[in-house]
Amino acid sequence: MDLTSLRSVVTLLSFLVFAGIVYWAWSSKNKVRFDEAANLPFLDDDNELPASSATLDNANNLKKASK
Amino acid sequence: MQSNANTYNYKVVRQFAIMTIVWGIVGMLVGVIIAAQLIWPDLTFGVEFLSYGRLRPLHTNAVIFAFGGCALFATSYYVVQRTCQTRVLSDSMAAIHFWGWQLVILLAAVTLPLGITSGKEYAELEWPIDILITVIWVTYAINFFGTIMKRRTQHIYVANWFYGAFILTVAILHLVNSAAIPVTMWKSYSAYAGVQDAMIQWWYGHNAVGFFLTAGFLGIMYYFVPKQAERPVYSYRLSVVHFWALIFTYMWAGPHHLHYTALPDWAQSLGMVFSLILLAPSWGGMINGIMTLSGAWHKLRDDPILKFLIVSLSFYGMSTFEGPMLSIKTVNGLAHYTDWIIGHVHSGALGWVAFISIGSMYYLIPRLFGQKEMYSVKLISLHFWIATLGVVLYIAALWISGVMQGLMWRAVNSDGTLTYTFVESVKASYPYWMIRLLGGTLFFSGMLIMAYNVFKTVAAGKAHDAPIPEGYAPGSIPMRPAVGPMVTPAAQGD
Repeated sequence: MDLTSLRSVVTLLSFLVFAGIVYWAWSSKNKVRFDEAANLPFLDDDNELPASSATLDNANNLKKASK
Repeated sequence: MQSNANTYNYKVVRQFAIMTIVWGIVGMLVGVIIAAQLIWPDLTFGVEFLSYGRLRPLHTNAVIFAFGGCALFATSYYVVQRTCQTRVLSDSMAAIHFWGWQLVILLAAVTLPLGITSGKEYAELEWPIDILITVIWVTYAINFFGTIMKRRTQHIYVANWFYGAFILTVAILHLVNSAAIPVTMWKSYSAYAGVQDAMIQWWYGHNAVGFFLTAGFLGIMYYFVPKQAERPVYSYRLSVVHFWALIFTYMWAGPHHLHYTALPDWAQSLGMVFSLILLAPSWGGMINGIMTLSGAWHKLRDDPILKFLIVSLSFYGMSTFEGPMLSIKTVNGLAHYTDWIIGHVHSGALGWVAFISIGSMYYLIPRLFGQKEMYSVKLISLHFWIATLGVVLYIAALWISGVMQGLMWRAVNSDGTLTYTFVESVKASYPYWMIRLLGGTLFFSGMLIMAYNVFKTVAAGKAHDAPIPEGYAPGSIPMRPAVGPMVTPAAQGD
């Protein structure tokens, strides 16, 4: 295979990989995992002040939620 | 006293956060000085160390790598620890990263005014400093990715993907573009020659924009916009596609810096096409960030931190529309080498990069020092309006002077001679350079207001290291528990 064909194949493959990523991102069976990931910044409360109990409560809620 | 293992390492975040503000002030002050030098060339009394040619790289290095770099490091350590629910891999590596990076900045501040430079834009530092940067960067990379590897959450939050891409790509760019043959301790020559050297330089240069000044700051956006808006990002799926689209396309846009040069025509066109394609992921990301506020627009009215974050996205949208447009060869033929390009860069650098950094610092500083909020919310608001006015004056002035310069340089008389001499275009630019200086000074004053506000906040509080939630203390729970369905602020309604 000459260099030009190789380049074309790589371009085509890259495009197919990207199309695959789009399909993967929007396929309905991945909805739950992405919803979970989107909530990662809210796993715990960073508004707490020193010696606040908010963190603990939040963590306990989480433990319950994950059961 | 809490043991280290049960808290997040906020020390490194505090260190980088404070230095973000310090280097922001230094870098922008140098910017104001060189803007004034364009109007009054004898401003620094002919001292060679303070001449325009030596201060200009000092300005760019200080604002990009010292101010922007510290903001990225501070936020990345904060975000990666909190979204992975674990302390950073190594405290000592974090300390090496912080002090090593400050050493690099100091070396830059000494060598650049001395005229020690490799002459590559945004990569001016000479080879011994380049080696030091490599060592520190690898330390940072191991520490960041190591933290992700020991995470106790199942997923890797999208902001960490952007930070990761920033760390990995900058390492590759730095290694390839800085390859040089040293001849003395402080002089080296590029390993590449001719047009290849130019292409590698702008492959580096544009990806420094793409991965240092974009991907890293998008990491900030994907964490701090949802946090400040108190709702998850508008579409997480869009953020995944945004990430990969940006990664696939940014790498190829560099040749647009070399339109109408010795670079082969096909390479120029390739760079132009990929730059045009870049509009899609850029705007996808901008829309994703701004729409995170949907249903909560009222928060924008009285939260100046949110104003900084959201307006930064508006400037991001503006400059990523302007960028592809400028990459079109015929448009570039008018704009290249004129003030328009400087205006474009600053709409991105001040409007996007600095605004989102400032917003995230206002978010972080109180939390790092055990305070509920900044000393004065009114002063944040004042900072916001002064800075916004400054950016708008700056970029509008340079749009006008840029287009004017481009038109004057290409104007020809009927006999084919040039209508204007170069110096006539310089003379015509003075009024706009005055407005630019005013805009830059306003932006700089905003940073001083911020420094005062931060000082008062820090003085009133004391260093605080947040505990890692107890349910997640090391060893006490199964590794990587699934994150269950959560009641999100969005689900609670407004």
